[in-house]
Amino acid sequence: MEDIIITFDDASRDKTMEMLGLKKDKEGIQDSEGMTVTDQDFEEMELKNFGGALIGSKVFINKDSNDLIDYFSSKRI
Amino acid sequence: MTLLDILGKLPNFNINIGNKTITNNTLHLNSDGNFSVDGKPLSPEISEEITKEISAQQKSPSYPCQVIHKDLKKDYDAYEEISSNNKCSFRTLKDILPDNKFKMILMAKRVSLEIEDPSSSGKEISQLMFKLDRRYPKDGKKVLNLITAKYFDNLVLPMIDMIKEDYPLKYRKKFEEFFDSILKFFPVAVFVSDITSQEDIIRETKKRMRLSVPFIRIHTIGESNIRKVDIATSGIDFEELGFYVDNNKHTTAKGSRFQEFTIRPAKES
Repeated sequence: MEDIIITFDDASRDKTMEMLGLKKDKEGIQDSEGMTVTDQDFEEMELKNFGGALIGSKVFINKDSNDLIDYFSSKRI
Repeated sequence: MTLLDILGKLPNFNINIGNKTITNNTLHLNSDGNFSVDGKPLSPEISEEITKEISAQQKSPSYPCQVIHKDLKKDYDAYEEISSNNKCSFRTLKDILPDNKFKMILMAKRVSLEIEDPSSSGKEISQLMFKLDRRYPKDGKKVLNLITAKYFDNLVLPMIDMIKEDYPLKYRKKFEEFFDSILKFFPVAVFVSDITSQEDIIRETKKRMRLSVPFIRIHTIGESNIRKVDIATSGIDFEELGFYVDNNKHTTAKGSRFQEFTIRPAKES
């Protein structure tokens, strides 16, 4: 089944994060409940590396295709 | 109203979920907070409705859509295509192989998809091959060779069922051993790259000619490699050794030259 996809670029990253309830802070990124956003390896995500959020328990990914391999391998196959 | 209901109202955004039809499933969020579809901006009112619907899910277990940086979109689409088209065989592979080997196959499949795409540039293919080689320096390119030459689908995957039949309890271990063995030595093919020498081609071909295999195929791409294969194979007297050959050279739609030099044992009289 096809999912709805929203793309963003560096210029619209802040608007995207705002829509998702994510906030920038000195440490990195926080979600709407004040929890630090981590990638699939549970590493704190740096703002410049923010690559999006995928369906399935809010999977946050870095702007790196390796994160897509991990996502598809664990959640989509 | 759900996100789907909102999008269903858009004339240029039809989506096939349940009984609806997709013509587009991607929106782009612009820096002004408004969305666009295929470069055409949506009205601020619709954009606000979409934003509100997604924002309403901030505290839900999941967002209602995929949100990805546009630099990842092509990779996302490719992995989506791979996982949809190969779901059954890839689920089996995922069940059998360790995570790192499964991901290597997935990544190699991604590169092969780019190679097959006529609209893809040489630069994009090189970048993906570089990433594959960096993440899996030992075996990444070998798996890619098996996939692009169709051995993976036609010879490797069918082995799963055969091994399952022979080893119903130990098939995972046995298939992994088989997979590792063909990465070390693939008996029916020689893959020639820029770093393969004429001596390598002769040695690897003769090594396989001593085995009881139905054919040996030398694969290569590019004029200089084809020339190398032609010179190397001209030094082997196949007929004298009981083999016959078929030297096929083709040109892809994009103008790349590739070669399949097949060696078969002559039938016994």
